[in-house]
Amino acid sequence: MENIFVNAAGGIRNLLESAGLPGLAVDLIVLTVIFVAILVFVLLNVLWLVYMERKVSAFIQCRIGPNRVGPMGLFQTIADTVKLISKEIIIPKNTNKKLFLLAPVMIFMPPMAVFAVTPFGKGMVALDLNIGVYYFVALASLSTVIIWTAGWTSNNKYSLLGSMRVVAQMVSYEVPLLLSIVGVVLLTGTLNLTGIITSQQSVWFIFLQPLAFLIYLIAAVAETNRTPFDLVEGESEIITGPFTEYSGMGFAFFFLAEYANVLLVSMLASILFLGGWLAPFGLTFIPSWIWLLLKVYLMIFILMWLRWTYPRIRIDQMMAFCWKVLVPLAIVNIFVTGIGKYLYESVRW
Amino acid sequence: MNIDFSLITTEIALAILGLAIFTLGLIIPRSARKGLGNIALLGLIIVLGIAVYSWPNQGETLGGMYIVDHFSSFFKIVGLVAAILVVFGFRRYVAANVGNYLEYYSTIVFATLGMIVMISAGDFITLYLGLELMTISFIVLVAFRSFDVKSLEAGIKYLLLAGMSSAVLLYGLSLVYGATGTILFAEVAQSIIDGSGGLLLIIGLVMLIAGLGFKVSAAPFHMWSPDVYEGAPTSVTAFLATGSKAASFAILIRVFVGSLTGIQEHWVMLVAVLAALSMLIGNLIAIPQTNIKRMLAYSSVAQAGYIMVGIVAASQSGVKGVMFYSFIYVFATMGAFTVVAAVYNKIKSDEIADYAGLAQRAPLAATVLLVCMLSMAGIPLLAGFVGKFYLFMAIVDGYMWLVLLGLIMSMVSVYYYLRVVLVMFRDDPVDPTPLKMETSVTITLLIALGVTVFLGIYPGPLSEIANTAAQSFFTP
Amino acid sequence: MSEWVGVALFIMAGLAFGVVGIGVSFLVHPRSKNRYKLETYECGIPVEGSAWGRFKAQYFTFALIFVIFDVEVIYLYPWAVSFVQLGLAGLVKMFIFIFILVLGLWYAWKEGALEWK
Repeated sequence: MENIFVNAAGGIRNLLESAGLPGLAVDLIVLTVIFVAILVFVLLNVLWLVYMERKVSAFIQCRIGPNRVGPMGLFQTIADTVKLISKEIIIPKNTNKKLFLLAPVMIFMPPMAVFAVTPFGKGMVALDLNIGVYYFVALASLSTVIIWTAGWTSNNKYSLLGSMRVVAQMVSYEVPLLLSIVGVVLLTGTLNLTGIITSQQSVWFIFLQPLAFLIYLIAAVAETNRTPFDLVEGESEIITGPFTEYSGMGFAFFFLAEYANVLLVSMLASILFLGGWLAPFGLTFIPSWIWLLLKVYLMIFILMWLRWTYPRIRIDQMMAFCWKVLVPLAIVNIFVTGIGKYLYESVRW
Repeated sequence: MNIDFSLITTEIALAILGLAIFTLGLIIPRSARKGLGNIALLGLIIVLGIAVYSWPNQGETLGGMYIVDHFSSFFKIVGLVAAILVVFGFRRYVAANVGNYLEYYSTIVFATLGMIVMISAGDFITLYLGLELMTISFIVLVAFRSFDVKSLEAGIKYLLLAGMSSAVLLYGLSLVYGATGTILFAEVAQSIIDGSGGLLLIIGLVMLIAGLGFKVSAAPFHMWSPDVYEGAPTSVTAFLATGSKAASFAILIRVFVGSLTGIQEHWVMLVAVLAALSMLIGNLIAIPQTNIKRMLAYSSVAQAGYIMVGIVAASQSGVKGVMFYSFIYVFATMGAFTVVAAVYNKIKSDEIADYAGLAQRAPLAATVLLVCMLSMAGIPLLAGFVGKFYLFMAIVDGYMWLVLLGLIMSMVSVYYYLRVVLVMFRDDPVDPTPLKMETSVTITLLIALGVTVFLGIYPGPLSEIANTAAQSFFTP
Repeated sequence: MSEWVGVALFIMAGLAFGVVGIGVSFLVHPRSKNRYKLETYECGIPVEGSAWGRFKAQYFTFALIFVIFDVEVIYLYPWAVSFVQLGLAGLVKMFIFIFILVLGLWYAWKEGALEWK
């Protein structure tokens, strides 16, 4: 159970090598297979997340939620997807048509590229980059540009408002996000995601960096543009903001990418603060990748809980909260962590 | 990597001063920020004291990235003196026309820091770091009167052109790095002696000259200076014309005389042509100017031409001439601009025509302007004459045509300087009420006057110091 | 090096997924011609002007603050990684660095750059 995926990848590699292919080709084919596997994983998760979101929101609002298509409405999202594929992609006449289409094409690129470095379980990482955290954050913030492109090229006032807010929000909350991760990197001394997980063997970083975790959580909600930070989409005021003009698959891609990003930030939270795929209490008979999934889904549930509990905040509150509360707190956290780590090191030696 | 902190005390002190002004300005209420000028002045004088005190300290630190020798110490002192005069002599001007003391004084200090870092640079990265700190501070300062269209225009022009020139410079640096494989000046020199070079190095060299030529406003890279000098607050103009220029000359010498000596035959002619062009264009276009700041701008282009003559020589006497001239140029220019600012404070005009009868209304200001301008023109018994004498003596065998051109152009410059003097001394004032100068302005003017006259009569000691400092390039 | 080939592969494959998704939809979706359908959406009323114009300058203030902070934060990571080797000197130097950063934030705060007007 534990090594099922690792063994599968190894098996494919052996098969290809025994067929006499050169090294690089083997690498590329294995990577492609892994990519497809991750893609399938992400898509299944996204489908499930949409369903879960609706069920959780229904539960919180004392409703039933989707219950018609399939048992307990399980096939609802699949039906929605089929509907979206078969809908026309309307390209309004005032848009910049090339960029208008480029935005939804590109929107899935950053999350998929980031999944390349995320460890899904023990040894289950496509590319074990030694600067994983850097790569993660740098690629993830690319979404800003793409969403902004979508809003700007739409040539729609709501989209423009929304896209400007996207830039302001995602860009502002990236600073506390990055600063909170510095605390974790200080403790581990590595940027490698697997290295960060293994150094949490004795204690999870949520207990050593509670403030950083809190800041990370808030900033992550803002980065994924979810309530209470969904003023960039604001269905009731600016009509889904940057995505107003998108229909059919164009819209579906943005929608899917949002959930892919939710999955991503939850994954990073589990890796950085909740010990990744490490089993708590020595329960190692459950495979590592199941532990990671459990933690990720715990985080996702918290995000959904937040979404359906809090009202939307205003843009001035959003900016003030970021720069006047989160950033100073994150800097204080770095100060405290730095001093604490130094004292710890000097006592130990 | 060990850092020898004793070598960079001046820089650390200046950085602390800048941050202290900034922090203090944030703590105290807005109305009390005016006092920051005094703190900046006091701090700069202390830093100058440190710089003078650490004159004997010599050496390299940060693995050769930072060079402290007499040459750099000399130019650091020049830069600090310019900063002190700017802070001291323009206090009333700043209060009346600029405001925002917190930003103004801290930016002045940071610009000075950029200058002295650049002066001490031992490699291209430090050079660029100091240069950019200085340039960005100056961009802010030039556009400081944000309510004034001219100042904003000057700021945007300076931003665009400084950005352009920095890009060219950086590209040149990268080409030199590509050709020699190192960024340290000393190793670049060694690598050229060892035979690296070729077209790449020459292209890099030309770009370096273009980039640094912009900073010293040598023709044909002088296009920005008239507009920027006119639009910027006069205090900033004075600082730009003195400190920035002196520091840029220092690094020009450090790079060309100190590091690229091996390919001297390639750049000497280029610099000579630039010097000749600067003298020609600066002096000839200065003649029809009606705005005194524009006239001084063109005159400073011409001055850059004279100073570049010393680089053409690429000898100890040439470097000494550059050092001597930079020093006296700071006082002469500062004196002239202090008068301009003080007069602007009273009559709200920079037009030469409005200076009519200044000799009757403000005798000291008129006298100082007269002396400073004559010194810049190179009239004997004033410091400018001695400076030009050193500069032209250095190249008299080999570049006779440049000497002749310099002499002729100095004669031309007397014409437009005297035009101002005539307006001041001959014409009757429209409004004969005396202009009362503040004490700080009077003291600054007296300092400028005193130094200019004293060094004209008795240049020996400074010349000796400059000579010693210039040796650092020519002793192995 | 092969790691970065992998990164390139993932980025390209991510793009390919988008191309395929949109492409398939283009193959199967219906097309109907309607003059009003191609109008920009503005709550159903006739469109007024273009959205491509000047916009509130406040966003750019934040963009500037962001650029400063984002660049500084990048320097914190190498420091954090080699924290133990750098020792006390590294700690003090980085605290000076962060202090200067905080000074900038303080200035922006005090001068009202963080207020949404």
